[in-house]
Amino acid sequence: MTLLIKSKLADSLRTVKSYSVRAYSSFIANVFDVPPRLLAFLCFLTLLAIPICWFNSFGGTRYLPIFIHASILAILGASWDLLVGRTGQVSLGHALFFGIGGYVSGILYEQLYGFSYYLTTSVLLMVVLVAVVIGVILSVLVGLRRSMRILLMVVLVAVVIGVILSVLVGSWITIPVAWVTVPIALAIGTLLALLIGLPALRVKGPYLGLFTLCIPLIVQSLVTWPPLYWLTHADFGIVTPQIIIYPLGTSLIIRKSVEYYFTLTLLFISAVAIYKVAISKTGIVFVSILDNELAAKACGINVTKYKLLSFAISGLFGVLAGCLYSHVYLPKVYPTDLGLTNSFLPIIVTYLGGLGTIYGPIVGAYIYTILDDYALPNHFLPILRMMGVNTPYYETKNLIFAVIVILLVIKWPRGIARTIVDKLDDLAKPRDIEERGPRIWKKYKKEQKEGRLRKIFSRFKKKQEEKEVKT
Amino acid sequence: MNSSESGKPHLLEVINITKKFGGLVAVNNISLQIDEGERVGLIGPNGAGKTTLFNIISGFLKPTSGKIMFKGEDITKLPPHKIVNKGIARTFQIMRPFRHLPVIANVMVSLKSPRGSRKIEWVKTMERKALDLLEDVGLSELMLEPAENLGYGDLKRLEVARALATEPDLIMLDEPFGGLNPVETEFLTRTLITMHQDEPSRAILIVEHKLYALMKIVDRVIVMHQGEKIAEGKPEEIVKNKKVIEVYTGGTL
Amino acid sequence: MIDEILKILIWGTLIGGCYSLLALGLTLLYGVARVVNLAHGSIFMLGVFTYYAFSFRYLTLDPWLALATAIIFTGLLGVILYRTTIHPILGDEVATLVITITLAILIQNLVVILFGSAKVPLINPMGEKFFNFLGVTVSFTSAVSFFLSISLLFVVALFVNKSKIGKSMRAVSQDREAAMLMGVNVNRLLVFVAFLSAMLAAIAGFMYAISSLGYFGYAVYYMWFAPLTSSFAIVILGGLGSVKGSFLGSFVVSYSQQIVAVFVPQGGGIISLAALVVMVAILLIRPKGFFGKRVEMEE
Repeated sequence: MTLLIKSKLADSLRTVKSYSVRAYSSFIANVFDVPPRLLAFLCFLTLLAIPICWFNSFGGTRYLPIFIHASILAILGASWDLLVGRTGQVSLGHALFFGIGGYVSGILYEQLYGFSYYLTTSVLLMVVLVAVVIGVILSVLVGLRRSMRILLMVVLVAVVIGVILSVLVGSWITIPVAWVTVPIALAIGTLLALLIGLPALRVKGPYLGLFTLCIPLIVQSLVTWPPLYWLTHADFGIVTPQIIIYPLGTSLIIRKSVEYYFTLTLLFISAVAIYKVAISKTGIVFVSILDNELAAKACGINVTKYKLLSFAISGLFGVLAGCLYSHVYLPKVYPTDLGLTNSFLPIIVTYLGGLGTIYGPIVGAYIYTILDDYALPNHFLPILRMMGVNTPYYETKNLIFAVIVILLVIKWPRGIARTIVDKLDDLAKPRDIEERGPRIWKKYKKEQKEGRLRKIFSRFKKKQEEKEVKT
Repeated sequence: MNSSESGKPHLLEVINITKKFGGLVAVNNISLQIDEGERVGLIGPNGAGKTTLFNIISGFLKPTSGKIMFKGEDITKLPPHKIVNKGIARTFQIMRPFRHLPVIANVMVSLKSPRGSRKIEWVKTMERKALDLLEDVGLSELMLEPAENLGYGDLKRLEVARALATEPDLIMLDEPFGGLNPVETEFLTRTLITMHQDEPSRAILIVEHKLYALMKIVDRVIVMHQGEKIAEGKPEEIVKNKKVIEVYTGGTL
Repeated sequence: MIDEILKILIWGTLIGGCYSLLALGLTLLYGVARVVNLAHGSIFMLGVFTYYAFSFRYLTLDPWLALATAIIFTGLLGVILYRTTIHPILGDEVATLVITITLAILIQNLVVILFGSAKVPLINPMGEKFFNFLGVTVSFTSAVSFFLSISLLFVVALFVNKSKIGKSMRAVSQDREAAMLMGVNVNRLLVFVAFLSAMLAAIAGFMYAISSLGYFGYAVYYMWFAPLTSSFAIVILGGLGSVKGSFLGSFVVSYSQQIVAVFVPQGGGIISLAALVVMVAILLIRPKGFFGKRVEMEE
């Protein structure tokens, strides 16, 4: 049995390497594979943060939060782009995912745990909880068809690990509350995405946009509804548990650096995960839904299922971004987190970077955050004031961004990052792309011939052996 | 007329299908049968209801009345993708490639469907299967080309490849020769004949206006006019049929 | 109990009339241009603020003159916005949605910059008079608005059905290319529809803000959202593109809103919630609305 798996694995690895056909699923005809580019970019960002923070007179606390904010927006933007740029389902209500994580976690924190920092719980329970959450997340990422098997497998493995751990470590463990509430928030958020996805599938195009636009606003109205004040505290917001609890006396810069690397790691994981999904055969089906839903149906694709899947994955990472925002970047979650502005953020970020790519929103997020948190207030605003323009800052800034987005949508939907990448691709070995198809084809024919030769040879060998046995 | 001579139920049975769009009757009480391995041509002047019938059989339109039976099962109310997974594939008159994807990915979308991925277990086999299909239609050199760059003839071939990828028991082609030059027509005719030789049990239903190409491929022809079936029979007979000639030329010769 | 029901019926009817104008503009634009204008509520708001600017803030014209000017001015603004932002991306539904929502945000911020974030008072050209109708206090302005909106609705319906432009509108909404072949100048027609839609929104806006139907004589920068959701609930209920549907739908929505306002504790704040819930429910049960275009196979 293992021999069979090993040989098949070796076979497929060989094929993958020799054909490089994985390039086919790229949305753009790029020569370089995206993960190394993303990696390089993210490494660059990490390195960038170090000189800024350590050599800054404010001890880095002034500029590091900008990068934290950027990483969070990057995850949000990438999740939106997967749904809208790749699967063509326009979601104008990503703020729902953004805000719901903090609210679920905060409500649990307040109602169930009474604001205690730590939680003493049985190891077994914890492990099972983590297992269920990971199961939900994995099943969403891998595809709803195999989810049951994966879920069961993960839960079984987790129970076994839990039993072993509880024997070794003792049955009780003290962990920050957030480590329980945040995964629950993630799981609930993903399920919510699926729930929203179901009606969303029945509606097409414009209706979908409306529908998604209004859902977070409904939730926002609910949250600020006076009779629910005891639960949600309306405009005062709910305090969220801390994910990383520092020992007393940790300097601000160490705390901010830890938070920065934490969010950056999560950004990296999310980016790679979304990339893997986008480049897989499921990702190809997503693009087919974007291009021509009717033709996809005629190819036997259950369009509903794949739209749901796209919604779920997008929701998962959206909730992740929101959880990071409400737990790490800010200490509380507010009703405005569900508001229109946050629905609009992934739009700006994606169009700045480039619709339909994975790295586009990430780059766009950094550009936007640096503009929004740094360049505009510190440099642009003084110039405006000097020129005598005394308009309120917040509205002027939003106005400028709105105008930029409109211009981008009309003239330049490819965005900044994608245009640069496409130019680089054009410069780097353009002939390679045209010749690659025929080259791969020739290699394939050769391998077919060799395969046939091998078969003929083995048949020949068998005949020889039979002859030998006879004589 | 519930079963053919061999006693088996027909592969596809269209039973009294009528489709009305408001006051317009596009298809009027049509019935036809297709058996395993049969090659049937569907001809008729434009507006006869041929594409509407296609849409009804493949599930994109629901008939006003009537039933469609496929392999003994009632498929009238099924959504299009389920019908594909039962074994009916179709191509479209208006080209519908997946613009952003390269040619090979277009085919792989079909292979990702439950029916298309039946005999595929590992990554490599799906790619190989896609490459084989592309070879069958002659698009292998263009495999990494984004579908939006393809010429008209190549797009038609891509449509056929996509339909074949789901290994249908009945493949329906909607004007596959439309807009092709003589060389491309010849190539596609040969492709379709080879396809039939490779898989004799696969039935083909073709709607086409280029009768010279069509008659080479099919064994039986059905003629539609204004939503009704007006003639049915072997290609040689149909060509001589007075009613058919009248319908096509608007008068007797 | 009886007076609550009376209140629901009377208010519902009055507001319904106002909503129907708003929904009409939206549904016309979609029917003819296939554009889902998420900035429709913002144009509604712009109408009110231009009236404010003309009658009080920047010019002090006679209220009726200011009203007429504001309506035409908003219509022209609608045309400019349409031509610059929507026309270039007519076929692309994703882009249309994104652009119109961005426009809405842009307009909201513009309003705050120009007029500040506080509520601004509006001059009522008819003066505040109240009368008692079946035990419910109704303002004179509301009653006049209602009759005006119903008559305007009939005028527009007549126009769409009988006049030459109306016929070309219906032609374009059914098949744009065929209409072009028949000699209809589609681009000019689309501009005209944008103008009409914006004007209707401005009129509806004025009625809504001025009378006690909506804001009791005030305008504020976030007033575009609630009417937007209500009008979308209406057009979805009635079917995008159907004039009859939006007429009926506006009354259904306004009655349900009044029911929520009266019977749900502290319901006033979540009236827009009621509209949204109605819309969501309709989208779930019958995505095409009751009179909307039944498209079975997209082209």
